Amino acid sequence: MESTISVSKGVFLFPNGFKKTKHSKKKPKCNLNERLSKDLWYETFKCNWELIENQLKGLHEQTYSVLLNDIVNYVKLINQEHEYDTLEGIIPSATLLTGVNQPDHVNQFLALINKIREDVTPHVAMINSQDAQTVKHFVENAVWQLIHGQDVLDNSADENIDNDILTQFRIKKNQCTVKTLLSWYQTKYMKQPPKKQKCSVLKKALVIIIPDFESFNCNILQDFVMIISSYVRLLPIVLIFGVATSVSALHKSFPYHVSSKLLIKVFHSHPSHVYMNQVLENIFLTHTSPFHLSGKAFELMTDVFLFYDFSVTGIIQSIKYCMIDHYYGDNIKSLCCRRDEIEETVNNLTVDDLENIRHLLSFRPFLEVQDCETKIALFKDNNFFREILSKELHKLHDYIHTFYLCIRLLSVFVKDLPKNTLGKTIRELYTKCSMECVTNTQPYRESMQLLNFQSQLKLIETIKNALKEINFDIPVTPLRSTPSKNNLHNITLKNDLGLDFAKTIRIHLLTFLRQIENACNDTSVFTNTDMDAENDLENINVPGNRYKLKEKLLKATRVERIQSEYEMIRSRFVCYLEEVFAKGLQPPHTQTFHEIIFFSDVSSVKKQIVGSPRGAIHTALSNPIHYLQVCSNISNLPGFPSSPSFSLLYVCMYVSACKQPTAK
Amino acid sequence: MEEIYNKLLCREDQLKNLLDFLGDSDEPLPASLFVSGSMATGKTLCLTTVLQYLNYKHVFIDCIECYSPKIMYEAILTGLSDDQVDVKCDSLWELINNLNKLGNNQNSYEPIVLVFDRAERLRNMDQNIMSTFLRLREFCNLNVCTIFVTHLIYDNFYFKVGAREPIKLYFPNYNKEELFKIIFLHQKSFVRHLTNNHNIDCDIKEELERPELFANFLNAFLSVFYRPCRDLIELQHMARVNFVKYCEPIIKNEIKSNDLSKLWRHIAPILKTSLELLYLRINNTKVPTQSPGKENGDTMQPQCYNFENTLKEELLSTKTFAQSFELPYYAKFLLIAAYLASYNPPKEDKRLFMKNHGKQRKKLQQVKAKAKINEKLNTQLGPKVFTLDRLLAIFYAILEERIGLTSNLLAQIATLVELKLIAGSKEIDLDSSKYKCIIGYDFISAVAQTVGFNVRKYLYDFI
Repeated sequence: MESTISVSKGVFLFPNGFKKTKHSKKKPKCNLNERLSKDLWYETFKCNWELIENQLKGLHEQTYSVLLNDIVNYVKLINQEHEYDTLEGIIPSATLLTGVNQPDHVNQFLALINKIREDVTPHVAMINSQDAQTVKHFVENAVWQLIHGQDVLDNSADENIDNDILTQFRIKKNQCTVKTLLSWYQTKYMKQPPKKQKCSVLKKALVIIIPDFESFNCNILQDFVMIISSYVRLLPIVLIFGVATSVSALHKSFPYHVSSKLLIKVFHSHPSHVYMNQVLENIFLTHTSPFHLSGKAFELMTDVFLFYDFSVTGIIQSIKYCMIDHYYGDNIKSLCCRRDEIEETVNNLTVDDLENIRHLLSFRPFLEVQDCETKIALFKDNNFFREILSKELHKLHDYIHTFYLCIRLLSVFVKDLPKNTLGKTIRELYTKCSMECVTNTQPYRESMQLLNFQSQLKLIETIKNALKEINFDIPVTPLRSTPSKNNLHNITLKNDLGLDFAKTIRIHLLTFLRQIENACNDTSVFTNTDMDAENDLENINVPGNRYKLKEKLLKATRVERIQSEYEMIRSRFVCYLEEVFAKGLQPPHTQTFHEIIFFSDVSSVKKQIVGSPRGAIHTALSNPIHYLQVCSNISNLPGFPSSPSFSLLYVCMYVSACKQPTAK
Repeated sequence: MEEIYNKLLCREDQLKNLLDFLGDSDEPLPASLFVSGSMATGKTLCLTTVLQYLNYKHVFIDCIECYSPKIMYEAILTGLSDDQVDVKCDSLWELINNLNKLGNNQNSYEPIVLVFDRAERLRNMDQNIMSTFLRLREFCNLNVCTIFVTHLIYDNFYFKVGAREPIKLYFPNYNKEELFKIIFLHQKSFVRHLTNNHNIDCDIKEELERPELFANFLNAFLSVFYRPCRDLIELQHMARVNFVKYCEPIIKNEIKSNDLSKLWRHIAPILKTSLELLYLRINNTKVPTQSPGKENGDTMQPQCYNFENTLKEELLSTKTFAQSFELPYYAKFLLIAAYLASYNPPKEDKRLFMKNHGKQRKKLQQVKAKAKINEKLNTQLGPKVFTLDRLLAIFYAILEERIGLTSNLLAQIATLVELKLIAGSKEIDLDSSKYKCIIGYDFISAVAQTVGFNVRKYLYDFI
């Protein structure tokens, strides 16, 4: 302790001979990886996350491709047209309205850069506002990136570039001015004998991307635009602005003499909530996803998105965190894997793990139903338990399949109903359905009632959509039995769930569809009578005859309406739907072993995802031990102070005192 | 000589002056010239043509580019030296040394001209730079002339000591007839632009190429645009855009090209609407090659069409501006709270946002005082500064549900600052940070509408 000079300095530095070398730095990481990779749960987690990540990448490319193609085409077009643009000093520029979810933009712009590099020109620079505190930095960064971005690409792509050009232009960053860019560009493209390359290849556009327009200093941007505009005759420069709010932001920050130097083309990107819905529906809310969130956790994620940040990257990271939390250190979670791997994983479980599974809460109701012998067998015979376990897990997967199918069907039927009591999107329905048994709720009943009033055309359309949804889910196989032969009265749901369930639903829906389509004649007759009644009403509707009208209307209500064939089928259809949903939409927490696949520990995750600074300070002040996790045993020591600053000091002393002997 | 006059219309006087000053190569050049005039009055163009015609050694320096004087010095030296060498020059004395060396090397008393474009930027640089350049002749043994081109007048340049007054040359704005002449000079390129982008029958093409048609259009065009805009470049751009629209009915054979009154009736409303887009430079040409049909492509296209229509409205009204981008739910409330905090006096907060604020007794004095204030409403006086605490207090008061103060919420404030809806520091410091809401009433009422909140109810001015 001699080396400590003063407490007031706050930091106690004890040189312990630790040397920073690359070797030693890598070692602990490796150890961690090795240690983790041995664990079963980590394997499963890694594999599953990679699966999800790949899906995300695919979806990402798919969503952005249209927009990116448009922009790239625009840039290409400018590149070609540039020669005969007679107006001087006009910079062609694209404005991409990105929406306010700024964390997501990074990916979007990276994709854009890659796309432009591939299709149009290798010279692309992206300047963030942090890199452009002054005009000097701005220009230097832009020019440096334009000149050197090329080399990086060239080296990897083809080797036969003129080496002298390369060496000549390995310039320092502080030499990068627009003049250097100009001379570089001229040596690169103009001086080369034109016979070597085709004319169109000769001049390649220089693209400068400014992704976060709003956070730039206006004056710097203005100067930059002015500088570029004086060179645009010699250099084919294209600017791309990423604007989060709206085009007017661009005009607000540029005075007339600057904005008149730009030729602005506006592009709109997807609203982020649309993208989020896509991500959730296509990746996380499907039966193919190995990991599922319980209703509460899911609601937390979507709330954070809708109410706070609109960031898809954010929601994906939160879900990833949930996944880590779900898997971490728990071998039984390795069962949360793809369906075809269940048997293998069950066999890999140790006896301890099996014991842990027996302690799961959802195992109890399952146990109570069994007879005495099986109960004993379940506890004593590990192999028997394994068998039952894998069987139950398969059941659970079947259930999940049906559950999502039913949610999709429900969303198809409910989507166009007035008032939208249940919600429009699949994610809303999912939250509702997985929190409680939705078939018992009032909004559900209301929407079923509304479904009972739907017109024939509309109903046919929705059934067709529903069929599409099912066909998307399961591959279409040629139907063995023609559905028309099936009598309606035979339609009963069998007990099994899963793929078979979907198949039967498909057949039943087809049957209903045909019947409803055929039922059209009778209804038209019925509507005729309806029309008559209306005509009568119109006749009556003369001033003074209000009393008669009232009487007539009263009578009309009393008359038993004769159901048309369509109406009969419709009510039967709705009954059928109710039956299906009652079966399929049981909330997950009623299932055996749901803890393995569904993540439900909301409270612990909430603390991490939604940080609350004042709450944290409060806890730290009232209960300092909460954050000083090292010393759960310290607090029991005599004389432990309760005031936070003292306790902090105490802990520091204690820990250093503990460490001293071990160090020596 | 005649060529220059023909090429640069309506600048005869200025050209003559310039030639008088610079023209005779056996005489020494004037020490410095000061060329001023508004934007797009042909200053730079005249200078370059004259210098090229006289075949003098000259260097153009765009001062906006010279964010450090070093770049300027080096640009001067590289411009003057014949062979491409990298020159290093950090300071004025190095520049003058180098210039002297240059002077020693050359035998004849060759005229050299340095042109500083956008010279108003020199004011922000070191004081002595411009003074030095004004009397550069005295520092080196060269026949050198410095020309400053700027849109400011000389009085706007302020020197402490010893600046040598330059010879001043003023370029006046073009008047209507001159603008007409100049734009008319480019008639060919206008027509080419039109014919390049449309496929047109031969006989119609001939009609379009008639100069009278273009002259008629230009008359109509200038009658609308001359008042708000004198900028030649902008006028040329707008003319190009509108000429295409002017000719559209002729191309479609709807209106005969000599039916002037009909053409005028056709173009007048178009010109008026495009007047609103002056200087905005929005490109409406569609990208012809749509990306190959994917599933997304089909759904996107009608949307795109919508965007095109709304774009103009979006530019013109704040309301559509506010609706054009979506904010998260709490961010909207934060913005509303910021607006309320900015436009309400802090002492009225209790009355506005608390449920049991006690009875407000209206004394005669107060009523009178308020009547006085009413003349200048708070909402018209501009935003006031508020603290973070007050913002959060109002936020919780207007939000019906109870939510915790989370880091996500605080991050939203930073986002709003980033989006330039609130002005203030980006770092959130619970104690001291101050903000100001910098959006208008129209905007906030549009935002409030989307969350079903009545702003007027909470504004002190409207109670």
